[in-house]
Amino acid sequence: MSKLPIEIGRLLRSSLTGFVAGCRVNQPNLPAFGTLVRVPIHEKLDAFGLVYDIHMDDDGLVRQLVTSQTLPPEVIADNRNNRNMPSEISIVTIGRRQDGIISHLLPSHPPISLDVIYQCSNDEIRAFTTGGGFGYFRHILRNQELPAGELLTAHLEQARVAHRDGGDPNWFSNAVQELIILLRDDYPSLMSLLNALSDLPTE
Amino acid sequence: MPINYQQIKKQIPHFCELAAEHNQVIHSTAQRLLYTLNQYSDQVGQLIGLVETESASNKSLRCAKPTDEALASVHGLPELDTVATLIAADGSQINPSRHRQVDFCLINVATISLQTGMDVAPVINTESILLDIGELTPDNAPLTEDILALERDIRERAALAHQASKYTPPMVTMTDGPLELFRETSNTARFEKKLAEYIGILSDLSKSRTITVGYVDKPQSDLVNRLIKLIIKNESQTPAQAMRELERIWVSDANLFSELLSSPGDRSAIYCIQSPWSKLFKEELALYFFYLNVSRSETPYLARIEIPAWCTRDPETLNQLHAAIYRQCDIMGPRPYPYILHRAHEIAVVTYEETLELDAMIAVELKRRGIDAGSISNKQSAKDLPSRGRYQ
Repeated sequence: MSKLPIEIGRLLRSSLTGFVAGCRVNQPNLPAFGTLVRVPIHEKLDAFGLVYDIHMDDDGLVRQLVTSQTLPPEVIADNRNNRNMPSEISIVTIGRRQDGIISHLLPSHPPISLDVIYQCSNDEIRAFTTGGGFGYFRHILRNQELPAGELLTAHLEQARVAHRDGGDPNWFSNAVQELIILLRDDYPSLMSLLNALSDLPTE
Repeated sequence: MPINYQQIKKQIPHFCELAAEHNQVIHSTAQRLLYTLNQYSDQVGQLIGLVETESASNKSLRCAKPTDEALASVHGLPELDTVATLIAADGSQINPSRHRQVDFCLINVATISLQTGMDVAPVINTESILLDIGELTPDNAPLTEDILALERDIRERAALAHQASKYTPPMVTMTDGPLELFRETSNTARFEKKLAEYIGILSDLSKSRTITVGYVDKPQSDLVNRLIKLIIKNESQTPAQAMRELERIWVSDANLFSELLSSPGDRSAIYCIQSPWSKLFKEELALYFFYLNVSRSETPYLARIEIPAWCTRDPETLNQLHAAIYRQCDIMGPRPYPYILHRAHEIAVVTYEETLELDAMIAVELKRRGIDAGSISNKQSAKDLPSRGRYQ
């Protein structure tokens, strides 16, 4: 990898199936919905996940400030920079890298509080989304809490760019075909996914 | 059950009945005082003389003293067009307590400095001072909460002066509460020494032309009403019985000024504080105040703003602080209070959990050095027991 990994936040809480990271609300590298992220659990084990929710909390002062007719820029900057209000990024775990081998099984241990979370590079996206086929789709499709259609579409859009830049323009259509097969008995979910995919710009 | 609600429920109607009667008395008295305020509004020279004559014979006289502004004058909200630096300080303390495992005191002072109109996050500083063990028994007696509060007030002001030295005027510095120090310890030598230190800091701020403001939320003082009562007392036609009745009824200045300051941002005339301590705040540092309607609705909400004399001399300075305070209150929406003061408080406040944490930290270090860290009192231990009752 030519570039240094982009640090996006630190872990607040976790389980084997997902984790929540905290980061500053105004940090420039706030990850986008659907971003593939990686968290090193120990030197031989990394967990991979997809960002499925970004949550900004409020408090009493913020609730009072929103009723103000005019908010000066210094007050907005104060609340975004100085006050202790992390934005919470929820991530669903979709695989691991153990002893250098990527698989779409869950990691043996969850990450620990304050572990650093990195945004995956294009190399890592390509490696993860081809190592083990499309097995990681099951982690998204079986989780009823997730906005599966929207999340998969956001992920596919980002992965499509990584694969196209890596010389594999067919990855996207293969991934869509796989999803159609997986969802063939779940018409509502399939239609939801196809509707979302139809909103993607054509290439 | 912590309170006998059945018993209280029977008392509430009587309480409210008396409150209604009391409010009626307050209202009629306020109208009488307001009438006199308007009547004498332009006679400031004569009234200054009256206060000076009275103070010569009554050393404990505490009231408002007029300035050259008409008593009942109302001054609208000026435009704020200058980018200024606002700095606020607030302090919090852990009071001494023999019931804790380790008896210690802490003063935590926070400052926040912001540039108005700039898209830059304010600068925050926190200074936490753990008092040395010897300071817990000054003058061969346990440190009182009052002395600690005095020390905190001075450190707040010193922190403001320190931060102010980093910026250039125009600057407005703010603390919550009056500028005039008022403590139970006021007759001790320690208070005199601390007061001199405090006045020294105010003097430094004055020399650097740093506007200094004490903000009093929901003021209860009656300094102007005391002046009016003095005027009425001085009127030859006032019957002694009527005067005694008037003296008996306490009416806050806010009762009067909430009628006068009807528009958002209105301020009252400026008054000087005449008090036994005011002689210590001399010339440029003499203490003045005005009332400000910080509400943004039709219902007035008053604050008392205390400032040193030099801030009243230049109309532009006065307008600047008048507008800056109102704008700060406006940020907080329907519950006006200076945003910067709230933030200073938010940063400075020491929570109960933090007190326990510090207690444990000091105890661990004492034990590490082979020193007996003591134990919490039996009373505290009993209070800390898990309870099915009111302490849950």
